[in-house]
Parts: sequence; C-alpha cells; structure tokens
Amino acid sequence: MQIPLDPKIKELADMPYTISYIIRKRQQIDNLNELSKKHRPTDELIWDSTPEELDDFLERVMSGKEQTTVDFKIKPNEIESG
Amino acid sequence: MSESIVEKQDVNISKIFDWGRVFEVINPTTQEVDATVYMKLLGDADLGRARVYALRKSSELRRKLREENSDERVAYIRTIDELDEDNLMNFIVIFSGRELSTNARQNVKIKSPKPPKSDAALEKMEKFQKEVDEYPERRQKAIADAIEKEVEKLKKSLAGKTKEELYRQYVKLLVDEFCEREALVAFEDMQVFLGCYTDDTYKVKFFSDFEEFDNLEPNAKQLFKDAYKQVDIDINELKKLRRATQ
Repeated sequence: MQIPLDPKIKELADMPYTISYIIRKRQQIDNLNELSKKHRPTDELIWDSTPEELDDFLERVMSGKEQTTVDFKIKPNEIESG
Repeated sequence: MSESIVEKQDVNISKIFDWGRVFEVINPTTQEVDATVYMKLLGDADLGRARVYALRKSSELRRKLREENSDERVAYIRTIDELDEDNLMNFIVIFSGRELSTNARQNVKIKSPKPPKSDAALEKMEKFQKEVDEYPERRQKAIADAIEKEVEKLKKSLAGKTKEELYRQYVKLLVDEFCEREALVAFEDMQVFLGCYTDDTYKVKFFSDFEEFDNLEPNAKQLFKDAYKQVDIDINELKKLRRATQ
C-alpha cells in the first residue's frame, strides 16, 4: 500500500492533518473497493458528500436489496424415493 | 461532478510533504530579523482544538447579536426604522449569495468527460484531455447561470413579504454572516498559535499562550497568518490529491 509517509514525522500526533486525511481516504477507498462494483459509491459520493450521505447510500444498497438467500429448484422426478 | 474530480490528473502530490516552513519576522524599521519561527501544519488533534475554539467564539457572538440592546447588536445591526423594503431586499439577496452559490454548485449537472480506454488511440486521449481542460470553464458558466436564476427566484419570493418578515430574514442572515466570519478568524488565529514553534523539531511553542498571539498588532498578526497559509492546503486542492489514494 502506497501510503504517503514522511520520515520526518516521528509521532502520530505530529502528522499534519493533510497527510492523515489522505491516509484515511486511502483506507476508505480500499474498503469500498471490497464491495462489488454495483454496490460501490460514485466518486461524487466519496469525495463531495457528507459522511451521513455516504452512510445512507451504503445502508440503501446493502439493506435487503442484496440477495442473501439462495433458491433451489427441485424437480419432483429427481427426488429419490424409498 | 466536482472540478476536483475532473482535474484529478493535474496535481502535485509533493505538496502534501511541504508541511513545515521557516518564517522570519523582519523588523520594519531596521529590516533585521527579529525572530525566527518554525511553522508546521497542525495535526488532527490540534485542528480539533482550533475548531472547538472557533465554535465557542461564534456562539458567543451569536448570543450577543441576538440580545436586543447589546453593544454588538447596536454596532452591527441596523434597526427596522433605518431600512426600507428595497434596502432589506438588497441585503437579503447579497447575504444569501453564499447559500445560492452552494445550491447552484450542488445542482448543476454538467456531463463530465468520459476517459477513453487505456489502450485508446492518441487522438482520443488528446480529445479527452481537451475536454478535461475545458470542463472547469463550462462548469463555472453553468453555475453562474444557475445563480442568476436563483437570484431572480429569491427576488420574486421576497416581493410578497411584509417589512417585518423581510427584517427578520435580514437579521438572521446578517447574524449568520458575522458569526461565520468570527468563526473563520478565530479558527485561523488558533491554527497559527498552535502551529508556531521556536525550534525545527517543533517541540517548543513560539507563543507562551494564546493571548500573546492574539494581542499582536493586527499587521504582525496578519503576517503570521499569511505565512501559515503558505503551508496549508485548501480542501478542494487536497481532494485533487486523490492520486495519492489510488
């Protein structure tokens, strides 16, 4: 992972907020890339929305609409009897 | 789509590593160096402190501005008798500018350039780059048109209001505006105070306490703030650094 680190920064508390922002964003994008393509938020949502809007989007795409059950088709003539 | 996303390839990632600088305070009379200041961008914790300070200052001013006879109210907000309907409407339009602009930016939909395939012909890539280069201007024009429409809509809605209704809206917008400025100034002041050190390892604070910085002569204070801005990165520019995240 190509996180932009700087050898001059010795302690986490010293890390400028710009670098920690980039790192957090990188982690967020890595996590979102774990989702299937159709469930991923758009660039606008990732970069320009509020955290609540992004949460709402993820809630919406992940809740109920994603297939969580598997249907089996059973043909009567394939059932073994006795 | 925001400009920051379209302009993603036009960035300088190295800028995030320029987070510290040396600032020399020059004596205007002797032109000699009075002090050497080591400035660095704040970390998340200090940034949080600056935000809290800004919110407290803004809240304090809001409370004073809402008190009918406070010094701040008398100094900054005119009474209803001092303004006629036309004045009120003009002020409302002016102070609504930021909100109208934000709405326009959010609502304007300009089709963003579609990147060609990675193995596309050079001419297609050139065409894409041209569209990317022209995109900010196209978007700015669309936003300006949208703001103009919003202003007309606002003016029409104000025309049907009584003077008292207009005055209430004027006061609310004015209070919001003053508080916004107060918060920004307080935030910047606290950032600079927390970001100044006497040494290049950023261990010893330059100012012994916030009051020492706050009581600086306005021009000197501004010099410190301008110097700090040189290491800071605007949030929109920061978003352009998304290449560092991919």
